[in-house]
Amino acid sequence: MYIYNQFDTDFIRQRVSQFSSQVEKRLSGSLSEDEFKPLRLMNGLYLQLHAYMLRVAIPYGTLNSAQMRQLADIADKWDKGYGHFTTRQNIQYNWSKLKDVPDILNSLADVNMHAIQTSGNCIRNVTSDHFAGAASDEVADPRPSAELLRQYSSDHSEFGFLPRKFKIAITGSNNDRAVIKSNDIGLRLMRNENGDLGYQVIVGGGLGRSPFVGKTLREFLPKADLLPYVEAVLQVYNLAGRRDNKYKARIKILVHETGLDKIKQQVETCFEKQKKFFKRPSDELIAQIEARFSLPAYIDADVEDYKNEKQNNAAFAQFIENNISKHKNPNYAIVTVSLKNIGSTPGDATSKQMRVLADIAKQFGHDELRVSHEQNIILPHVHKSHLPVIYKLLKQADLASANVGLISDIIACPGMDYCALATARSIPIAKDIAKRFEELKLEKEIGNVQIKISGCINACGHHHVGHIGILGLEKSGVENYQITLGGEANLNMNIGERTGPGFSSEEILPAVERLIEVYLLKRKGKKESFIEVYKRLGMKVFSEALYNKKGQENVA
Amino acid sequence: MRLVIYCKREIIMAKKSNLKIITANDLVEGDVIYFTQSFDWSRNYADALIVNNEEQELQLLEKAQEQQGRVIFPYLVDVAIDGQQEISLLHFREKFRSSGPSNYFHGKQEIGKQENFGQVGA
Amino acid sequence: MLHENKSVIVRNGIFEKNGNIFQKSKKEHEIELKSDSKAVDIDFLDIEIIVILFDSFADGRGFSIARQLRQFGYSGIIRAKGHLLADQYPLAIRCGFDEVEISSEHAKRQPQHQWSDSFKRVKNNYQDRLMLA
Repeated sequence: MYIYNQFDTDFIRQRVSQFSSQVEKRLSGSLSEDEFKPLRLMNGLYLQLHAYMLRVAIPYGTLNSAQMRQLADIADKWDKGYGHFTTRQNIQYNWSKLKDVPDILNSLADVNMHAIQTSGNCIRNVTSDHFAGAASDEVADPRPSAELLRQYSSDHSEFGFLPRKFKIAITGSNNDRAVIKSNDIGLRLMRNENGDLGYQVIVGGGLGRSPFVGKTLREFLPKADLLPYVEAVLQVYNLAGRRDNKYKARIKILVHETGLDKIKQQVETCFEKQKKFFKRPSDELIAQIEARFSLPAYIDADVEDYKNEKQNNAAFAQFIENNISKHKNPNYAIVTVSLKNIGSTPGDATSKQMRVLADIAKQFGHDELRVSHEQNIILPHVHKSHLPVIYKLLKQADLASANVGLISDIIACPGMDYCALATARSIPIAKDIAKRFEELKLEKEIGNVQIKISGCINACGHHHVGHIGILGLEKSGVENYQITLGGEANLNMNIGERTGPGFSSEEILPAVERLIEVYLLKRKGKKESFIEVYKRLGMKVFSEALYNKKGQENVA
Repeated sequence: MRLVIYCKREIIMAKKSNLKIITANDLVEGDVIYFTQSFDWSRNYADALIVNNEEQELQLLEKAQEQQGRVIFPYLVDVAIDGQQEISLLHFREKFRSSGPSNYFHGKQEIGKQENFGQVGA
Repeated sequence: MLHENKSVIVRNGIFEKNGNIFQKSKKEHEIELKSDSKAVDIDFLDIEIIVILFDSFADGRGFSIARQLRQFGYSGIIRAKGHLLADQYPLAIRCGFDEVEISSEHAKRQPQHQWSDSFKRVKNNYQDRLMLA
């Protein structure tokens, strides 16, 4: 993975000292809150309901064991012993104090991490495929491009005060695990007919108040043109994006209101000009970056133990079935560690668990970890011979839930338990659903279904693209939950359709149960998944189950 | 029921109540605080100064906003009082702010300041 | 379009209290651009000073306008006018601004040393390292 050099380190340290002085200026009154707020946001510091929250960047979701260990130490030293992994591959600490933040940032800087640009109207953490560099279905590793974009976007002089936040995601596989079509710019690494490497460029995706599936801006962009082209898009957006209304300020609205063809024209014109002036990174620099993402030094070992364990240990076999994905090296496996224990808060890990993961990665995983937007941790390079011992270690640390992709593998934003923007809680709903289906012992039977829960219309829980999406709102002074169905978070990204009136907090769980009942009843056999049944039958049969039962009077 | 009206100076949680208090977050600690009679800040809403008309509301808000060096984003919140003159918070968001999250025993409830606000389906 | 006495011009990290370097520049050699201006529409032949207005420090359009003006070949002075923060000063310089005009009231809350400290951060940023314009 990319190793920071002196330049990167200096940049982070300088930024910490800059922020420390900004904190001082705020405390002394030299900066008002209005002036301080965008500066603290650009350094990842939010104010939530109960405390400040620090959002630490994990560039394209990749980190090593030393970094994971440091995150654990920070959790213990300056927070309440845990961290929350987010849908943008970052980590959040919920209980930061303003005066501690410079120390936390310095501690992060010790392992070349930071909280820069994880908030604010700037270019955010570039996200990517959490299986990048390991997946067997990859055209090319997207992370060198992600790293190039990271360097390009760090403290960019022109684009620090955009109309609104700007999110970029990149995938190197046609099996899009980065949900690129939900981003302001989505990039898909691909080869053209001549076999040249380049990008499909997608623009104007976004969830939230007005969800949009991103549209193709360029069918094929040659690899060397990435930065000037992105620069052109950003310049068009910076100049023309709306600044009069916070909820209409993203590029998705600009594309929608101006029209894709006109935006294409503007970008291409700007790009032609940029090409003349843009000083491109040297081939040497590009090669240096790419060299940092070379394949791990694969080992060779006997896999008999692994095979035996799979045969003799049912729990282990279950873990292999659900949590392991195909690696490009047939002797290796990609391990997804679920942070969705039944009844726990999705995406949370204790400092102890973080250290266990760090140790496993160091000893058995080529010292590499990933954070997935589904709020789980990935060990991307694990030789199969190590799987039995890893499973044991995970089990000891309460990290062995074999539920990846199952109904209890729920994505949920922090919701009103933490977030100042929320209109309802999401965590208790996630817990209830997971508990219920575990109780019923139906998880395995139900198979793959993606439930995503957002605690407000900003959709940080990505409910729009959940097979079952749940949106927490408020009605008559109490929490109320709307359901959407049929969302998909891949290259065929689809926005879910609302079922109808919302459900109270008492009714939402029975409602989800009824949806699953319908699925189990109507499916053509176990092979047909929930989303496939929905696509085959449509909304009617599900909404009938939701609303035509005796629960009518409970429906808000 | 309207949820939030945000304008430059204040956030008003709109519900039918004449009685209001002011709340904010502490600049340094980040935690929830309430504006008291002595124009100071308490971690306990029971100590909050109640106002009951628009003129008082604006005056109190202005006073609170003068303390920019200590607090962030003061705003008005609806309350009710019972026979014993004890304040109760009306909106569930404010109840959460006064106690802490419902998934861990963290925040004010941990310190024992406010009662724990119950969980769904607990 | 000379600045009023109530404002301060920041140049090279220093507060210049008394006006343009180009004292002899005439009114017709200065133009003032609003933040929704299009650089491509500007005829800057014979222009010596372009002032770009920043409606608020959160409105980053001026940075793009300045950059485009430079790309189109303008080589005179570009001045940012508005409530810019000292922390934005290096960004402005890198985008092609020569100076920033702030109100004297603003200058009191963000005194000169903040701007000269900021000024040290102009060089050696990521875009330089990537060798971008």
